[in-house]
Amino acid sequence: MLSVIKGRLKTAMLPLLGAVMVIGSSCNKDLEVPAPIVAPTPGAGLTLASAIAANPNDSLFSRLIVRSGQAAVLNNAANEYTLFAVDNAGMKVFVNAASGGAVPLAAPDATFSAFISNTLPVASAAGIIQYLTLPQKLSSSQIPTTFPNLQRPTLIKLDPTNPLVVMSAFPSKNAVGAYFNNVPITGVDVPAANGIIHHIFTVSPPPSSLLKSMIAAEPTLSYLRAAITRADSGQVGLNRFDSALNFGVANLTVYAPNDAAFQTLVYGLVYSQVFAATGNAATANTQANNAVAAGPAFLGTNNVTTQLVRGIIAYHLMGVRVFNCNMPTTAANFPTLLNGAIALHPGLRLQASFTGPAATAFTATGLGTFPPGGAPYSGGAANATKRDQHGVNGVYHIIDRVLLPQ
Amino acid sequence: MLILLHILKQKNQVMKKFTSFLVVLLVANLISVAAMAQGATISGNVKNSSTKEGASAVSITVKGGNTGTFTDDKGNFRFSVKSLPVTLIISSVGYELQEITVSSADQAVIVDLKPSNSLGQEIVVSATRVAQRILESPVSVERVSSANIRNAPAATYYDVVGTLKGVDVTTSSLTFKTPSTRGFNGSGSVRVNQLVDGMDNQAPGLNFSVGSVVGLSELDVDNMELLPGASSALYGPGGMNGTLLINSKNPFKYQGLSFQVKAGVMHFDKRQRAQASPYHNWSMRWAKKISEKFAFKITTELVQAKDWAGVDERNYLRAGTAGTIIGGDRASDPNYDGVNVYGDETTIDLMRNVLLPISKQAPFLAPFIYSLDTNKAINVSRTGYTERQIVNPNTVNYKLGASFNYKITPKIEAILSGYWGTGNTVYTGSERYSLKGLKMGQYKLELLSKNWLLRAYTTQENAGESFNATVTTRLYNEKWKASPTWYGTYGQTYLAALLGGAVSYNAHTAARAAADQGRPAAGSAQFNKLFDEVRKVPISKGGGLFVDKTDLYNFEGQYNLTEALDNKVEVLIGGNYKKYVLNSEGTLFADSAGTIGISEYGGYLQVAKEFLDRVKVTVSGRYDKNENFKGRFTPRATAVIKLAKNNNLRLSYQTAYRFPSTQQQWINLDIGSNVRLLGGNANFRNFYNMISNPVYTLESVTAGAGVKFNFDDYKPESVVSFEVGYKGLVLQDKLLIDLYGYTGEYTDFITRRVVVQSKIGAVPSSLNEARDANRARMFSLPVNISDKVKTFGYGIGLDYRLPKNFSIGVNLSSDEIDNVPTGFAANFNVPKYRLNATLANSALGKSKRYGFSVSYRWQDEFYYESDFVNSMLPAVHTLDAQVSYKLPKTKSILKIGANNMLNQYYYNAAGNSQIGGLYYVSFGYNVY
Repeated sequence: MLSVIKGRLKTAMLPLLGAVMVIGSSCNKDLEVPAPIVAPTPGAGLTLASAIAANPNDSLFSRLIVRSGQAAVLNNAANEYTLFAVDNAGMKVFVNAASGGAVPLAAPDATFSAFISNTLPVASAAGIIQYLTLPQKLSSSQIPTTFPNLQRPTLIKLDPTNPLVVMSAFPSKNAVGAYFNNVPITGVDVPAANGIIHHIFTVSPPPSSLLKSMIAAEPTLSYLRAAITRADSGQVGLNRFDSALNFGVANLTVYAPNDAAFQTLVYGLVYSQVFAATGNAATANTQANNAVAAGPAFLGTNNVTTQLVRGIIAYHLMGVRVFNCNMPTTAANFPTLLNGAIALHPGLRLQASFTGPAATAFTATGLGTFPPGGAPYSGGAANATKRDQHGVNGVYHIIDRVLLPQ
Repeated sequence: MLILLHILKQKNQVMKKFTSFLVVLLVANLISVAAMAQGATISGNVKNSSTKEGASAVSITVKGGNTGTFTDDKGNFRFSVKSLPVTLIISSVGYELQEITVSSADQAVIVDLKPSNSLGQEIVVSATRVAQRILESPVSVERVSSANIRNAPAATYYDVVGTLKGVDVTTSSLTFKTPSTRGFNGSGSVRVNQLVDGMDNQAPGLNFSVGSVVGLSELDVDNMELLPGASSALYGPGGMNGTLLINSKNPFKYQGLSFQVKAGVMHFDKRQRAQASPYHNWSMRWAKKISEKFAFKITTELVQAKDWAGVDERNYLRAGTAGTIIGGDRASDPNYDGVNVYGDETTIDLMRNVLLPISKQAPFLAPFIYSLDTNKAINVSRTGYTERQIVNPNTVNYKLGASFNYKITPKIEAILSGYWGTGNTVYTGSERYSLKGLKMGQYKLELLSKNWLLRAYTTQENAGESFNATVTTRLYNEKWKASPTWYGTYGQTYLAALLGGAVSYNAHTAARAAADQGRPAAGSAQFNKLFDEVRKVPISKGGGLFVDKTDLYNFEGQYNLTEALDNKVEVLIGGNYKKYVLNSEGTLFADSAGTIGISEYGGYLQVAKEFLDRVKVTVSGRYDKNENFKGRFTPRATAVIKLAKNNNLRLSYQTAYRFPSTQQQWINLDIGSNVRLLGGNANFRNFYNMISNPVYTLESVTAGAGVKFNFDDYKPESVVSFEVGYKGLVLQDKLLIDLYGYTGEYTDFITRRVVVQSKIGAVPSSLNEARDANRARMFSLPVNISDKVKTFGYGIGLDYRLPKNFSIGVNLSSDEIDNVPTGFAANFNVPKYRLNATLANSALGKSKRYGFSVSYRWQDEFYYESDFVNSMLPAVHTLDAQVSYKLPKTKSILKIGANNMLNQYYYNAAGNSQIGGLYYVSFGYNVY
């Protein structure tokens, strides 16, 4: 049937066929498929580990990367990182320290290489590289000068079950220089295909202990520990200083008065109270000496109130991580944990000294003075006797005076 | 055959219902037969002189009298006359008129009727409600006859409308097409009236006709007439962009059993569906004249296929009910919102809602999170499902109709008829809707006389299991995994990936994969179970089902006073009363407390007078009143100037208007994206507290400073149109030229405007804030544009009769809009130019048994605007063709046809289905 129709219609269809061909050549536009937004492609040049490997002056750091097993991560072109690298001079300083002096600074390069490649535990190397690597790009211009520093996550995971719980590092910038934690940044903004490289003076190793255990191990902080215990009485959870100091993702600075500082305070407090009550200097002296002789246990007695001790401890803690280098060269006040209760409290006064880019000392001054009286901040400043003790959850500095919040 | 049995069964059921009616008729019949027995009975047969086939539905009337009949499907006729001799006028469209004198009843009257191929002889009624030759119509009118349908390459009769001059068709799905003229196309046009046998065919809850899902079966269509442009003056409010009248075959005239089986194939290229799928279209009509007084017909049609699908997966940036296509896909844009992808409209700002709360919980991450830029929102959408994954591909349309016609006197005919339809289809409103199991019935009782008519009808709608695809899929997503959980997982994974060094792009990918873990695959048992649980719950109860049982009742009458006035002047008067009963059970309208009634009434008067045998002036006017709006008067004045025989110039001034649709008055629908669609009824302002808590325009909020929106009176919109046209026969009457040019001016044009209301008491000042359900909510309000919008256009149509029955037709038309105020979406939605060309022959070859037709359509590209999506639409070329062969002995016709023969996918509304090729063969028996 169809062939018959076709045959008969042949003549009539000819012009139609022509028309069809004309029309056929003008096709309807196909519906556009959604145009994907182009995925970001790695920048030009080498990826981070390769870039380090290609720089002869970073050869020891490159060995550290190899030892750490993190080269593949740093060469992952799909990701972006900021790497705080250490040049050979800085690596020698690090190896010298890490080897406990076994590798002297003057040793041949091969000795340093061998130490890194063979002696340094892989886990330590991995920890260092993960700690010196921040996810995402952070150019030097993105590091703010605001006090005290910028808290940025590193690649170290603190909780294997929760990828959001990571260790932080603290880059900063001030009028003197720029720092990774308390280590000066010596060179900035070297671009790599998958990130950015800054150089730091030497390795800033990841902290491995919590403040609580570090403070517990300090022989000169027994009064502080007793004071914390007293301050925590009646408190629960993270309201306890002790718990906060033992909480991995807290971020604290402790200005830790040593035992001598507390003894001075105890003596002074008892003496002034007894003298005020009796008017007898000798009695006051005896009782004050007895109080000091009672040791840290005195802070647990009814001779002092919990509130007083709690206030003093809060005044020695900050909710940020303040390295010596983060402090200003001109004295300035900064809030402490006491500001959580007394928002308008003027805080603690800090002043740092620098030699070159390195911070070398600081003083801390409290609002109150001892003995009582005098204008605010007119008392003697506390000097730091041990600085930048870095824990996972903060930093502590040992100071030689107890600072009074009022 | 099965379908026939089914239909006969249906018929029995229908018959039972009308038993009592039939008893009355039978009694009446007996009386009339007794009365007629005194005269003579003439019988005979009419043949097509060319093919020698019996010519059916040929009118046999007694010259100068009122009696007459029609030939049956074999060409036979038989009727009684009072006395002999009589002169019979034998006429039928497509044949030359013949007169024959019969002086004896003994001999059968044999008539050979000569087919004519002459142009411009069709009779139209719609232009003035009075029958007249199309050449003399005072306004533009297009006509499609059953012969046109028979020879058209279209797969369904309704598609033929799309080939008419100046017509655009918006295709929502295979069975849902919306014709419109002179602009404002859309899926379901509220500015186009569609009347089926005089009944307003709109789904009353939707305010537009759902294509031909409910209406006539193909074999029952006698003709379609289309009045382009403004046409309210005679047909009432609504017809601003055209009135389409579809008229069925009277069972007295068209008798016998007819059926047609079409079998086709779609999706053969497997682009939209996994397999090529069949297309079925079966229709049947059975009409019987029991006596000169009583006739009936039963009609049915079934269409079944796998539907065309909306497959536009481009990314859409939504802002209220506006927006633009932007770059990006699901993999690359976290906030991707695909046009025909549903569920991904759910979006939140991850920064504000997840990451910042995490920074509160984990202060050690706060500086890092802040470094992601707290000012910049990280908008993330949920993962959606494509239209093909959620909308059942099976489209079904089943229609059943019946009519019982009784001649109370030879001049007065009573008609009791009903059309019922059900189907699955897809439509695009502010979102895509799957109309599933939609049922609608129209039932009519009519008294028709030569000079008057009385008509009462009702439309009963039931949306069945129809659901909003967008809302349903969004709710399905919530049911599978609630957004707080999903976004929680997303945010944490995103952050974790960033902390691992992943760039944001990859972090989003990882986050989505984690949040979507366990997401049921489309079509899986789990998916279907959850989806159905949402789909079957009404919108008002937190599901996606929209209940719509809205009904419409209409009463109307018309009287032609011309004869009473001795034909000195033609006068026509008429009026109607219409009542909507909105019933969506709170899912669509603000009718949770009970149904809402809306009453309208109107009246019209038309006076026509011919001067000097050359100029005929017609003046008409119509007054309508809606209970919620002030009354409106719409005048019309037309003149036809006879330039020469068969050459007429027409001039018209027409007005049209429409009351805001039921939805534009009473809709109250949360369409997601923090937008609620409201009607214009003033009660909403109090209900949503817009007086004391003001609303701000979205544009001003997006720009950063909210400007208060002031409410004006909500009015009907109207259009005033001037048209000049010419229709004439030239070149020995072989070329029919039809030209027109028009201008239209729209006043109080109704559009939508999105406003923002704060939930926190501050003036909202950003798009993100407007989108945030915690801070603000948006309303889309219908408003009138105070500026006047102008449209203008023209069209030219040429029909040429070539020798040997060939005919060629070309038409070109153009429409444009002007003066659209900035910030308003006019939704004009028409190509500037469109062209149709057809070459056809319905009697080819020596035996004249072959026929063919080829149609080509081209339309220009244009920018399509709608509440659903705005996008540029590319130009469209389509080619339809069919070849047919008649088998006269069995009164059958075989046809092979193709719609969109070149399988060039196209779409004519943004977000709508992409239409490919449909190829079919058909067998028709007794198709006339």
